[in-house]
Amino acid sequence: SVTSSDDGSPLPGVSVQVKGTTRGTSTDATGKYQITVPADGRLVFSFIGYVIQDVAVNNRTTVNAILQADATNLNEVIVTGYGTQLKREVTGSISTVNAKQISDLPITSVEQALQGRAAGVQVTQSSGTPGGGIAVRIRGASSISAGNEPLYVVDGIPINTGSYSGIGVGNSQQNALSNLNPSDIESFEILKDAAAAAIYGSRAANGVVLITTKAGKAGATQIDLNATYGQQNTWKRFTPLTGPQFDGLLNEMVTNRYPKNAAGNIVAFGTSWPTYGDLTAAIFGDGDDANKFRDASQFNDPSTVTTSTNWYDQIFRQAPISQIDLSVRGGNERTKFYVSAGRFDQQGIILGSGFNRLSTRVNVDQTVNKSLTVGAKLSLSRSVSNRIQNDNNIYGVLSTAVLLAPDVAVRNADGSFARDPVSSVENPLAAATLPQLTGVELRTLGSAYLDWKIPFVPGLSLRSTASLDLLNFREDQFNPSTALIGRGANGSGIARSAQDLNWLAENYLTYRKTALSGNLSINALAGASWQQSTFESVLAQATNFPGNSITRLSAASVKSDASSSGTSWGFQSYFARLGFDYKNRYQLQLSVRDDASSRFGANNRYGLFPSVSAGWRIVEEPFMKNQRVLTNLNIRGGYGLTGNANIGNFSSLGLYGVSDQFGNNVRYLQSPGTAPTQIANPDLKWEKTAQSNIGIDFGFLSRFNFTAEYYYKYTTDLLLNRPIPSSSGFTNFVQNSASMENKGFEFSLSSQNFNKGGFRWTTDANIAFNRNKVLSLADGVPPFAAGFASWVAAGEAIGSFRGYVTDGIFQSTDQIAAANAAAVAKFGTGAVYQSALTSPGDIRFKDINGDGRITSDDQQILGSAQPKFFGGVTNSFSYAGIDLSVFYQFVSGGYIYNNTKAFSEGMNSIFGQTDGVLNRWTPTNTNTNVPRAVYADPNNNRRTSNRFLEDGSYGRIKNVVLGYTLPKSVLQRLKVRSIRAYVQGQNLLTFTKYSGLDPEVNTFSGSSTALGTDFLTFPQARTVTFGLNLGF
Amino acid sequence: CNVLDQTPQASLDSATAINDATTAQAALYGAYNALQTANAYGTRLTLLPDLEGGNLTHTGTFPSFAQIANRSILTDNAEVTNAWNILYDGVNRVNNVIAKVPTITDPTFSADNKNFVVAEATFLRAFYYFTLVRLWGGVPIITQPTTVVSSALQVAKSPAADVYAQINADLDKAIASLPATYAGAAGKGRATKPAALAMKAKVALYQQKWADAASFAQQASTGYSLVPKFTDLFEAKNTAESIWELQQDPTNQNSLAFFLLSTARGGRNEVRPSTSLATSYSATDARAILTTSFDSKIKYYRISTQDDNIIMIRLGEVLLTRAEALNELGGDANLATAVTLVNQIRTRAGLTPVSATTAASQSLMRDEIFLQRRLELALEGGNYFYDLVRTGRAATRLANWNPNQALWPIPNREINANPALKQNDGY
Repeated sequence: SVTSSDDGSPLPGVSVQVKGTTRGTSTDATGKYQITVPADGRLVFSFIGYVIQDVAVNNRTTVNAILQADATNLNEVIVTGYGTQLKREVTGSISTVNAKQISDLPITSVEQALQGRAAGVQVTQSSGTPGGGIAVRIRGASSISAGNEPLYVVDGIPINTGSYSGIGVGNSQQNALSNLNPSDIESFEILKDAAAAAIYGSRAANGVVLITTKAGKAGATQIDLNATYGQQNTWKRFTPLTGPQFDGLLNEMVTNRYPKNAAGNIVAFGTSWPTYGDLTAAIFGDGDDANKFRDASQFNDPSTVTTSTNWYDQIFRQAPISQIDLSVRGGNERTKFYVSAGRFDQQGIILGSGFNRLSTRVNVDQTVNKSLTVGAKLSLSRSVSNRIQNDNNIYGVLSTAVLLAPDVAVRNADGSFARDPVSSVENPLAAATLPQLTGVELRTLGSAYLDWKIPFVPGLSLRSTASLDLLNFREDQFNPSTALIGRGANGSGIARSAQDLNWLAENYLTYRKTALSGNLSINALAGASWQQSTFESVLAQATNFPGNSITRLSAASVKSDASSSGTSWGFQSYFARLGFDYKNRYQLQLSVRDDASSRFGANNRYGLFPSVSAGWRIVEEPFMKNQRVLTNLNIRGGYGLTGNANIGNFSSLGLYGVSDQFGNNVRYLQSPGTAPTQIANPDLKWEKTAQSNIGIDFGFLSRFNFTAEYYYKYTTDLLLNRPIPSSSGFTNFVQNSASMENKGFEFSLSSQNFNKGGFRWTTDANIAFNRNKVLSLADGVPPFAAGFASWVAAGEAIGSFRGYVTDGIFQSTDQIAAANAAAVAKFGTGAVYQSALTSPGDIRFKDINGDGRITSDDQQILGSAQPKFFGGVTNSFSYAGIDLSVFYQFVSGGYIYNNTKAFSEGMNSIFGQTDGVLNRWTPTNTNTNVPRAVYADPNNNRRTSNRFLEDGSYGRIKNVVLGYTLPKSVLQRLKVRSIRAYVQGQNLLTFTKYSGLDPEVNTFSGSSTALGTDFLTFPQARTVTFGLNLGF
Repeated sequence: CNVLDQTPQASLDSATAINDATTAQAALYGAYNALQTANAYGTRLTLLPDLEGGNLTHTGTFPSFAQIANRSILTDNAEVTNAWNILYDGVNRVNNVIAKVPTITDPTFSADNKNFVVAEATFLRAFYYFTLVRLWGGVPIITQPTTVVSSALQVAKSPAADVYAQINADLDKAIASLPATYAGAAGKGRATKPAALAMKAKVALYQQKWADAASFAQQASTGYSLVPKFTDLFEAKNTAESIWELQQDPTNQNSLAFFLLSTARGGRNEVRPSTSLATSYSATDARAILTTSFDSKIKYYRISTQDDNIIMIRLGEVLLTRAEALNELGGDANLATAVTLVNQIRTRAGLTPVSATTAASQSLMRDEIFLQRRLELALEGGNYFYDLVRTGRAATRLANWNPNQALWPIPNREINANPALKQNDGY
């Protein structure tokens, strides 16, 4: 029999060959084999992932072999587009992440598995929202407006991704990938360069993530149960002002805004006020004199204020997270199966948020006869998101916790939620608990295939697949009249249902042949694919509910909206690949795809995407045979074209719509209306990326494997909403025009540092440096703004920030007078440097263009959200059943625009403030960079400037897993295959200078151009989980 | 099946979007629709000039509103940009109707009906440009639909006088063809001949063509009467006084009440009536808009259905237009008529007639008419700020006034997209 050196388990499917003959067999499910062999012959055992063994028979009748796992991984099989390859045959750039690396981690959505583990793959969770949007950038961003997310291909199906929600609750997005169960995944292969990805043609410019689910295995049936439970909490919170501090601040703001006049009187709004407290109360007290919410006395003596609410403590919570997965895997030579069921349940660390998922999967392969294999993969999942209002939203939960004043109580005496009548923001606890919004996503991913080894032509086989990705998204919103968001409408609700049906039919032939006495091996592939996706949605909206108990729309008396809509796209593609390998040393691979899509304009229906790559495995050269140091040395390079077809389904057509170009419904007099929405562009086509890649792989002493790669991506025909004069009636015109480049280095290392006496220590590390630059926008297209402070301009990176530059704080009226005098000298009487109301304590902004006054031209690029480098390091240790793995992830050199701070330290209005404002400028506290407090901020100290731009670099101990596996001796007595218990910590330590709640953030979830912006965004949690793996 | 053959399901090909009576009507409704969107009179253009003129104060969160309240507007102000965009979108909708309807060959679409549709569209074009010229002064005049992108879209500003000439030419065409009324109360939602006459009078007022203003205002008054109870104008829709009133319903809402009302009433408390406005009313004035308890009944209050109609022009304003024109024309007879007209407004509001001293003085009457326009038309169509500018009172009534503040900046994006445009002075 044949067993593995790892754990002594039998190895089924090992190829056993009599050396020098074509005679061979393979081992059965229990690792046993039978073969006729001369008594003095030799047997060759080979199995993927293991070192080939050559054993002399020596007259034995039983020859047992123990195969060593191959540390060089060169015989590892990796999944490529439309097939698999041995790792050593790969000439493109592919990173792999295995099930093993992520099995113990609390992962909501599969993209999280890639974070820090694959060189050049930058994964940013836009927020800590359970089931929320995640941005994945493979080798940088290569699009401005057509999306930068990679193509996800699950078991061969390019699936629909993104957000299916049609109900706005702020910026946080839904993420359709979160309904895949990460536990079902065997491996992720990330196709990074054109040589690897061009086979996916017009959809591959952002890279391709191939997700392969677990397949059945011949051998004893294995039942695995994995259960985890844990708790999440914030790792950082803001310190708000106390009630007295806050009311003191308000009074100071008003005092600074309305200084006493020459006669010593307080005059404002055409009235004279006895004290500043009276004036402040008039502004912040709410107008009803008899029943002021804040009165003059509390401003004149803030120490009398007794209410000090810490809203953060009201909405943040310790929240449970749990997962349980059961899988059964087994089969024999003819039938193999994998079935699983899992449940994942996560409550968010912000009250009211949560996500849970139920999923099942069945993967079956059946060998019908020598030439025919059929199989099917089917998964069903249901995920439920409890969503909360968020981010840029006066009803958002965290938003209101930041923005509501601390002198407001949580509840009124009668138990109802207290609100600030002067402020438009909701009570945070009411925001978290009263409105309901549930999104339910049902997803069926299914495919069936047949593999036919065509008998007449050895080496030729046909694979036909039919696949389906059916997604149903249903959401129900109810805003009761007790919540501010529903109060005006006397209760409001939305019910919406969306369905996306994506089908795929593919047929392809593969051909393998060796020639020239086995020195040349050829593999070829040719096929065709048809795919269509049809989206439909129905929405109903109603207001005026009879109460807050019936939340269904049938109860509402005013049906305010009812609509249905649909859209669709289709692709028709042909693809081919041809590979040569001469003597295992020289490799050449060519691939091509021809894509036609319904999205492309009439003049550009077909796109051709070729690639070529070559490899030289120097280590196989005869002159390397006698050295023992290098176990691998391989140089490879490639070039190819890929596209981005994510250009909108009907962007090329001139259209009149029932909602206008700004999204307003076009109706009047209870009759339908139409409005022009876009100008035709029959030339519209995919964005085109040309990518070159060169890589070198080293292996030393069977212990270290090192890969270095350099790439250059040049993207042209970028889709741009070219701004046109809106006096034309259209604000922009969609055109292929801009160009952009990404270039960078990637390094990855895997090392067996120590392996003796049962103690094993390995390190896996990767780091990537990417430089992105927009090379040109279209002729006549000026740079344009995105998000709050982001800027897209030729010569700058995507995600750049632009704004004013602070130049200290005006300390005296003399300084202001001098600046104003210079402005008057240039622009005449009345001219001022910044604002007529600038006073000491206000920020002085830099006069960038030197014209003597501050205008919108005095803004400049302040930095970019894109990091200079990022990566991850995993150290794994094992000894006597104990395993420990420490995963450190880092991002360095990117900036964050902290728009939260522009409000929480803005000191311009009634909004709650954080303790940073305690260091504000006053005549006695002048050595500070926080300006004075002044009502209405006449100097616009809050304008977009480097004041709110912060270094977003961070390093964090992303995961630590400590586990203990019970020894075999104990297990045998318990009749259990394996038992392992572990404890896991996520985000245990974060090292950053960023002052916000979390440096991994983007309020513009899903945006290509507005990156690294924090605005009242749900932070990441620190999570500790305990888990148990049981194997039977 | 051919996977490449996909067609839009919620849009029409623009080449065939207006090709019969039904689609022409839909495109015309589309042209009305732009006026009542949130960035036009549906919220912003009704409230922002009153915020700028001081009838409203800013209590909310939008920095773009704060800039307008402070009259320190940056060229990238979102409200300014959005208003420009939607108004010109409206112009393009109108131009499509005007250009395409006469070419429709649908036999069921009679020449008369085509004329009506074109006349309504022409009226709307005049109104769009009237809004543009008041906010920005000279603007590009576009009278053809946009179908292709070319450098020809980079149109320079025409002087304000040319814009007014275009407005008057369109209004004259509309007056010649529009019907006097439409069936049903909601017919007030569409352009009628009196609406065009009333608008023509108002435009004349801005051009200080007093005789025209007086004459057209008089013609526009026929068939309308003041409602005895002022608040009925807003509590009942489409009253006998209303000449043109944008129609809203629960499926076609606006956010006026939402922006004005306090959070306690379900609003967002973005703006509220100013102390200055509230104290301008006398205690007995039926039109009073108060800062305190202002929620109960201001002109827009249907927060739960958000379907407050927006009165674009009504007899009350036309009477004041005529009074102002006559007063400016001067002469005892004109002055006496002006006093009578103003007294109609005062009486309805529960005030006593103007004093003899005021009635005898052209200059005092000028102030009285200005005040009555403010009190009568507060929060309607932004009249107060335009009146401050047009009558030259802004310098004395508004703090830190700079004449450049009379106009909004041309949006930065528009200047960038159209090199032929020159920014307004002071921005």
